[in-house]
Amino acid sequence: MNFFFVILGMFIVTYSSRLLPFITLDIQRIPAKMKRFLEAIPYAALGALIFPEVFYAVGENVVAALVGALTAFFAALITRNVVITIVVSVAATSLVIFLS
Amino acid sequence: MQKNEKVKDSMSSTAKSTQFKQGIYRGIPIFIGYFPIAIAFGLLARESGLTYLMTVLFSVMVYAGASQFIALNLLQIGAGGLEIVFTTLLVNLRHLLMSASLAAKLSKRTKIPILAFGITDETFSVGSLQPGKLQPPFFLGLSIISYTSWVCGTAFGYVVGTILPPVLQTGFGIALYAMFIALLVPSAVKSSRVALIALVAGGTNTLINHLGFPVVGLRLVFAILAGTLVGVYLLPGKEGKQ
Repeated sequence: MNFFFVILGMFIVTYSSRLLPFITLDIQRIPAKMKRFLEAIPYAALGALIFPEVFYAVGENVVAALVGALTAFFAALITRNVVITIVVSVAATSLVIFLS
Repeated sequence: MQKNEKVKDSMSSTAKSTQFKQGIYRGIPIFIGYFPIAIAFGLLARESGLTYLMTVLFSVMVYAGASQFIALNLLQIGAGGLEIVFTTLLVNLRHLLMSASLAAKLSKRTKIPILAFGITDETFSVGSLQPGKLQPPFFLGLSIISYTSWVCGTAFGYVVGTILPPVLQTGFGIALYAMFIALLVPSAVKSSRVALIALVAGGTNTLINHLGFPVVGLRLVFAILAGTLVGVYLLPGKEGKQ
């Protein structure tokens, strides 16, 4: 039951990091520059979430991950649809895994 | 004043329910992406010697993929509880940035504490790229479907994880990245500033990783800051005032 306290500790630090800016930030009082900073975060976050981890998304099989990522890129470019992009990308990745 | 805001912000219950359903719909990719990862987590937790109850409770209370996997890893190499909690703190520092950014997209009145519990890399990405203000019912729907996938996947993986064919699990490994790509591409194609912010952040993350920086979460914090600062200071945005 000792591990429960580890989980509790992890809950506290995780929820705090999610909660504190969320409830303390007063949008009306944020300077314009800070606002631009906050608005740019999603794009920076997406870039950092994609690279370099996308190359290791399929374990050792970097080729399959690369094919999946490129497929996703073109599917997104053409369809602009998240669900279709995922389905096509997973299918392409699975195919490469299956063939290799 | 308060009353005025209330009137302005209030939505009819049908509008709320539409927003909620929209959130659930937009969360389907996250559901698909989380499930296999959660299965892997449940399986690994069992192999690490955690009980079923502790494993499920882990996902129910912490709800943070990266730090949960790291915690199991630390547990296996015999790290202490404080060490695990401190590492979790470092890994999740990026939530500070995401939470702040998301808060700026909500109107002040609607900052409900429970909504913050649902902030993950994925719900943040989907939520913050919604056009206009972020509606709480939308984010609630988005969070509920994602959370359900994470918790159910964990419970499922603990019990049946070994039975699933490994090919199926790894093929789905690309799902969340495909979602990130699908979210980024339309904005990046439209604005070279967005593309550069993302590339600088991704490039920084790749570089730091290459240099052997161990903590994933901190890496992300540096990378996000690098991309954002380039976006704010080096490039005039659409306002073009600097």
